[in-house]
This record gives sequence, C-alpha cells and structure tokens, in this order.
Amino acid sequence: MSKNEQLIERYVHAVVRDTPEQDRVDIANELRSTIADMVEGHMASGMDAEEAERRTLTGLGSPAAMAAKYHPGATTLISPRYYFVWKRVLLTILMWVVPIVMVLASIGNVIDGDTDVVEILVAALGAGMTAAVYICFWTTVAFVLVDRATAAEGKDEWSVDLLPTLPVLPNLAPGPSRGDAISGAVFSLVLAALLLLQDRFIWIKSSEPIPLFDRDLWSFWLPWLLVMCLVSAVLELWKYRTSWTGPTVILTVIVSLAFSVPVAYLAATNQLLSPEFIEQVGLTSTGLEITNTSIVIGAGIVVLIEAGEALLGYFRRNIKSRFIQTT
Amino acid sequence: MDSEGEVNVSEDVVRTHRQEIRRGTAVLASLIALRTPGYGYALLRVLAEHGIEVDANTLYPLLRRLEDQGLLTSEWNTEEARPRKVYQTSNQGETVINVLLSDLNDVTNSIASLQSAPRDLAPKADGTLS
Repeated sequence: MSKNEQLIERYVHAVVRDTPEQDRVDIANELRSTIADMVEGHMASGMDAEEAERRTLTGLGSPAAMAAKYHPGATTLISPRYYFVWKRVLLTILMWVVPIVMVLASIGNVIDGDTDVVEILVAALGAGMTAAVYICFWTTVAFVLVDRATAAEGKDEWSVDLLPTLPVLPNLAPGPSRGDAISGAVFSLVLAALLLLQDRFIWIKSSEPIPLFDRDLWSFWLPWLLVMCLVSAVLELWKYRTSWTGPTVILTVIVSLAFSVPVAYLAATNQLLSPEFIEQVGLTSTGLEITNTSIVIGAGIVVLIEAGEALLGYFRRNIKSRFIQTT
Repeated sequence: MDSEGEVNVSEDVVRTHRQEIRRGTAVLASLIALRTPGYGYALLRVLAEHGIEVDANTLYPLLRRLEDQGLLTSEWNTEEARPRKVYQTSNQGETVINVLLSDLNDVTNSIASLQSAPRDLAPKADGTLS
C-alpha cells in the first residue's frame, strides 16, 4: 500500500510540476482526492488495492498530457498563426545565407594562404553549419517573442487586403527575359574573344605580348573552351525561345560543366597559366597555388550558380503553369 | 482505400471526429449536472450513467477552467474523512447553459433539415446550382 501511495504521489507530482505555480497546491489536493475516489470505485468492484491504483493511474493517462490541459495559455512554442511564416522565413534565410557564408569562408581561407582544398572545404562546411545553427536559433527566438507578444491581441483582424501577391514573374511563360538572353549571349562571346585573343594582348608590363594561358593548351583545351563559349551563347538565345524546359535545363548544366570542369582540372594540375605569365608577374609557388585554388573554387561557384538558376527557372515555370491551369 | 472504402473508415478518423463533436457537449453536460453541487469523481460517474463519455483527464482540468471563467463556483468540503472540492454551476453558468442548449437544438434541427431535403450540390451544365 505504501509503495502504491508513493505511486500516486509520484503521479500527482508529475502533473503538478508542469502547472501554473499559484495553482499547484490546489490542483494537487484535488487530484489526490479524486484519485482516491476513483481507486475506491475500482475496489468496490472487487479489485485489490494495488491493482485498483494501477488501473486508475493508467486510466488517467500521461501526466504531461493532463498538465497541458490545466494550462490556460500557450502550450506550443510557435502558435499555428505564425508556424508557416516561421517555416518559410527560416528556410529562405538558410537557403541564401548558408551558401554565402560558406563561399566567404572559403575565400577568406584562400586569402589567408590556405591551399589544401580538403581543408578549405571542411572549414567552409563548419562555417556553414555554425551559421545554420545561429540562424535557426535566433529566427525561432524572434518568432516566439513576437508570437507571445501578440497573443493577447489574438484574433488577428484579417482582411482580403492581407492576401499575398502572386509571385511576380517576368513574362507569362517565364524563362530568361530578352535582356538576360542577350547579355548572357554577349558575355559568352566576349569570353570567347578573350580566350582567342589572350596571347596577343599586352596584359602586363613587357615589351611583347605574353600569353595568359599555356600555349600547349591550343592543341585541344583552348579550342574546346572556345566551342563551349559559342555553344553557351547559342544556348542563351535558345533559352529565350523555349524558356526553361527540362532539356534546356539539362543542356545548360552540361555546358556549364563542360566549361568549368576542364578549367578547374587545368588549374588544379597547374596547366592553365603559361609559365611566361607566371614568371613575368612574379608569382611565388605559394601565390601560384592560391591563384589555382581560387580558379577551382570560382569554377565550382559558376557551375552552382548556373545550375541553380536553371533549376529555379524550371520550378518557377512549372509552378506558374499550375496557376494558369487552375484559374 | 479498397473497393469497400465507404464502409471501412479507419478507427482513428472516426475517433477524432467523435471527439470533436463531443468536446463541446462535455461542457454543457457538466454545467447541467452541477446544478446540484458535486465533486469530480461523482460528476464523472453521473455523466457516464447518462451516456456522456468524458475522460477523467479531460474532465478535471475542464472543471478548473470553467471555475476560472466564473461558470462554476467551488469550495472545499472538509466535513468528510476525505476533503473534496465541490463545484456548483453559477448564475453565469446558467446563462451559458441556455445559450449552449439553444445552439445544440439549432444544430440538431439544421442537420435534420439537411437530411430530410437532400440536394444536388453539383453545378448544372449551365453552371447554376439546383
């Protein structure tokens, strides 16, 4: 019996510790007497004391659930009013800030003279995770505070004026705008021209032109990159006509990779910059490594941005066409 | 989900809907029953005898809330061996009973009238309702 009385006290304690402080004694007393009544009820139907007490407490269910019912106020961290806003805002901030922090951390490490690619990546991941944790924490804290502060005003006066505007997209079948297409194509052509003419310009103080890129690359890689620039220019115009269809997205990613991966590979294996250029600029071996690593990272970022833009365009287009279908 | 989908509704679904519809009636039933003063466990039994299903862990917190709202009054009865908190419906509680009763009545009538006059809610070919 005494063992079971302890059971009841433990139950009462488990409920009461989560209830408002000023009500605890009263709730506890009432709960004790009620439980005793229920136990007696069970015993009247022929149960022994121990079983009756177990049965009663089991029937009352989890103390935490019961305590929640005693609470007049909020039992959620963020109420349904703000839950979806919180989720949307948090995801948006994470999506933008974390990659930016990772890129900035990488650049910082490269400038500091770190040349180990794995080390740089690990540091970038660490910085990204730290940023993510901070963002999650402070965004949530801000929302909890706003939620609690406005809880009293409660029943938000909602009106149709508060409806969100539809996502604004450049045109009906949203793809790249004409301006985007033209500037994209022009950029690709300028890049091609630079590749073609880089060994005829006087980049740096010297009596004769010094090629920026290794002459050996003319056997294959420079023509390849040139062709990719031209393909890319055509693709920009093609995108404008078709907007972001599945094949266009895939082609964009492939062309982007076909340009950036060789550049990264050549930089990583130190085949990209011409020895004359390196000598003329006076790059030390560390300086050269830093330059090459930056080129690798830059190529990676370009691919990410281009692929991201393509996928974003693809999803926007599909979401938009769903809107059109339903209206 | 199967071919007899209309007959087999998942127990969980049924349970949540029944809870929804009974949640409000627990308040009304308690207020009515406590026109005669009573304590928690006695009320639970009276309600059960009359076919009102309320869980003990819902009823006790509910009584406190109704007291906080002024619909019930309470005092500790210490005359018996075991002290018990005795509740009684207040005048305000009486007002609420009347409102809730008439609401319950309205709802029952509305449901009945819906059932007796079934309509075709699908739009006609010309887009108007029947």
